[in-house]
Amino acid sequence: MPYDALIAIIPALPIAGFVFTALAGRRLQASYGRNAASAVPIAVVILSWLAGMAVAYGALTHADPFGATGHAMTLWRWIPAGAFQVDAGFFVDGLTACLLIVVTTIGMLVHIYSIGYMSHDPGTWRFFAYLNLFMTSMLVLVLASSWLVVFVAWELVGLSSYLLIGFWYRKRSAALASKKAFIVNRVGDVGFALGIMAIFVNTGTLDIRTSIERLIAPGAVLTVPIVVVALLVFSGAMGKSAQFPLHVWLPDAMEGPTPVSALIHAATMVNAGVYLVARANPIFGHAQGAMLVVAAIGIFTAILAASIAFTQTDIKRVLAYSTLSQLGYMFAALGVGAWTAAIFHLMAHGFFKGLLFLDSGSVIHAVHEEQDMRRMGGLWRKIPITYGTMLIGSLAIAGIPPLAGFFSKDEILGEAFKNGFLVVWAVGFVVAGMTAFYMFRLMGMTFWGPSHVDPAIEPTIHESPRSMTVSLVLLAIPSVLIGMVLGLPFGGGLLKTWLEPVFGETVALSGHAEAGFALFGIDGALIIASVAVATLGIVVAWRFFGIELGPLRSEPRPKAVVAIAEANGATRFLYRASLNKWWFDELNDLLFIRIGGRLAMAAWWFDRNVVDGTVNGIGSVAVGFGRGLRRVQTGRVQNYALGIAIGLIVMAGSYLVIAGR
Amino acid sequence: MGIPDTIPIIGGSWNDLLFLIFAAILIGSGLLVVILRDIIRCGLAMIVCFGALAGIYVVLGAPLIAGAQVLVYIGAISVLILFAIMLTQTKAGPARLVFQTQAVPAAIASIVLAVILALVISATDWGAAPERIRVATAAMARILFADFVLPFEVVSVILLAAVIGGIYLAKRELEPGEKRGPR
Amino acid sequence: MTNSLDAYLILSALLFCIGTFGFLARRNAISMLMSIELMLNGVNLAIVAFGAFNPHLREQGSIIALIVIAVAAGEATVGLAIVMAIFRNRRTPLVDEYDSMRQ
Repeated sequence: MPYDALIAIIPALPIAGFVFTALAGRRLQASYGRNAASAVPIAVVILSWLAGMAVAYGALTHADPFGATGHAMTLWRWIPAGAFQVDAGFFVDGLTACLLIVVTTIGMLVHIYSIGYMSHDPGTWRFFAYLNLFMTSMLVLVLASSWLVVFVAWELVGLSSYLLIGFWYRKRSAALASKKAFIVNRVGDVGFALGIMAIFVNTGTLDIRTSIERLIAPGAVLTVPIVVVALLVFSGAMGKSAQFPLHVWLPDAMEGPTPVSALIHAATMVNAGVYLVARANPIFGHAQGAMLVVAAIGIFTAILAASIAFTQTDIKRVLAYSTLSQLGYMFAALGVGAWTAAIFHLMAHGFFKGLLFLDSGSVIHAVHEEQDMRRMGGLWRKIPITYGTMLIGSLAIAGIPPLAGFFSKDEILGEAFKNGFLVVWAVGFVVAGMTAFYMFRLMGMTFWGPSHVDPAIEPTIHESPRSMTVSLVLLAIPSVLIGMVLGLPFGGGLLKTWLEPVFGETVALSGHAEAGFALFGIDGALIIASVAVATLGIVVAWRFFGIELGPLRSEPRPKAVVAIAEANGATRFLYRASLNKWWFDELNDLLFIRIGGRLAMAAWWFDRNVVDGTVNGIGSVAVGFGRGLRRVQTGRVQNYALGIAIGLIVMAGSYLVIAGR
Repeated sequence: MGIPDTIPIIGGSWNDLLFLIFAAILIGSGLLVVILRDIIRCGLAMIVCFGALAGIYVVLGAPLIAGAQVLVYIGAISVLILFAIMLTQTKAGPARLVFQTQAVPAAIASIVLAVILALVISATDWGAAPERIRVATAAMARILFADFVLPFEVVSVILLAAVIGGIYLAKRELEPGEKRGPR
Repeated sequence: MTNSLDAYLILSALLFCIGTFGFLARRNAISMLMSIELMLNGVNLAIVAFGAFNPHLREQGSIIALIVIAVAAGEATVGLAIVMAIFRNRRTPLVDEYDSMRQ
């Protein structure tokens, strides 16, 4: 198998697609219709998927030349500058393979979905061009073998996200949201760039494997302590994966079209941060303090986002906060040392969150672009395929066995408990219940109960076209199966074998004894507890928001909801805090826009008056001198003669005085 | 009866008296030249000044120079100046202001210069003869046409150049359409 | 006094300084020229005085004075011609109005 060629074409095909569509797309769409414009981008993504799957298969079965530790290939020497050498190349191991599976599969399905979803939009060719650009950047990011290439791809991913969030650029809110996303990302990227510089200063190389080896070598003398390096790298991950306090951009990013939300903000780009920390796991393994920070921020983000999702009324916002919460779970898992669990959750979440977003897009499409859940309801009979897949997705995310979320979430909580991070476990436990609750709140408001849909559009509600539903079904299948495939048997499982070479040393370093899985001991108890809290969440949700599922019937009780929210001062505060996203946007506005703006104005005043004033002042002094000296030139001979006479007198006089002494 | 050897009542020689008289007239008329408002009067004062100077030359024992002074300065240059004054009269008559704005600094400078020169002159030992020496005209003529013949000829050329230059500079420009010729 | 060189020299210095003052302070161009003549005469007096009191310069003093007189005549001619030419252009003999080279 010509693996090197395959690896190279995985990102090469989408960029070719991007260039082709960017140059020829408008004319193709104008002359031959939308499908002509989208044919090439979709074809390249499908081919890329095939190549990606082949490479992943090779890597995970430890075929030649991958072996157990992965295979590196260099395309060309990018920067040959004496002591600073950077190669442009790719590195594929088990971790890369897992990410490849997720990125290429979900990318392909989203592309197919977009044929139907964007069929009314005049800018279809642009959309597919940007999607291809995004695929390239994400693929280069996971395949890269050098930190600098990762950084370039990192920025390109941010750029693609900016272009896609602001796709409907004429809408002011979309333009603002894309700007916000880019800027907040940038803040994290500063940390990442500093981290890369720190790595170079410490090790003299930017190749990922070599630099990590040198960083963790015993007795290595580091200019920048390894904890600092780890924290800087994590700050980049915080920006890209929207962890607190850089989480403010993700909900606003829902201004983009739904396929964008599904691809970028659920399944791939936001996972880049998780991938980064996982790739750097030896560094973190030697920096226990940094890992604690990662876990703390992760689990805090999880509960923060879940609390906000309780009161949101826009269907995509609920899913956005849900994504934030699940990302928090992933980082918490990384922080407590449950590396494989984090990647497991990354893959599972990618599939079921992508499914949920595409479903929400289907719902929005059915009710004619209405996104407020208060104007939905009773849709389950009218859009059955969407309903069925969304139910599957909700059950998966709630953590009901045997769907995917159960396995991955439970592994995270189990590891947290067993590694001694009880606080993380407790908070994660509560968040699991909250997740189940708000997801079934969403289901209740959208699909069950009486219909609050606008009567004018009610008769026209219809299921989505085949191109959209095929992606939904294709995503529902792994949401159901992937948990069992990768996670069974408990305590072992396929994924663990795949990722053993990547994480093995770090796990051993942390000293957490690998006790066997005790189904009838602590592990079993934890499993039962998680399932119980998830079920509790679902039951509470259907009590308040209704359900019509088989034998289960319940009426929504909106008044009861309001009653609880208004019950006492504490609940009123919590309700308002949740509705206002805990006022983080206002805080950022105050700190950076207002106060920062004042500082900027002060600096501008200083620059204008002091700095420019000094420079201009020097000029004015010169001019003033000139003006003064000019008056000597009167043009009259007698004045000049007087000058000569005075000069003569002075010379003669001083000579006399000096010679006289 | 001849002139007594010394002045009768005061004492002192006649030469000193002559010198003093001529000196006084010289300085006085010199001051008038630079102070008077009406420029014609200045010109006339200048003539008196030149005359007094000629007298001092005689006292010094250089009668030829005195003669040349009278002939050239009073006879030619002063007339020339008076002609020029007449030709450059403006209708307004003598100007209101006689002196420039810088007159006071000029005066101070002149006085200081005079003081410095006087100090220098009195402080220097010139190695002068105790008595003034009368110049013999014949000897002077001999040296003029023997040792100093080159400067003599050069001066002639200078005078020629001056005459030509003067004529050319002072020529009136032709009006357009006017032709040169006997008027 | 007639036998002291210093007296003649001081006299010459006074005349020279009077001429300087006139040159620097008068407004009319012809007055300036007259002051120049005064200066020249002052110098002439000094030369003749030196000639009279130095046995080696007996005749030379007079000769130099003669040459000075001749050159002064030529200079006065040309100077006055220039003044008349300027007067024709500017219609004024006052030198403080000849300031077109003013900055």
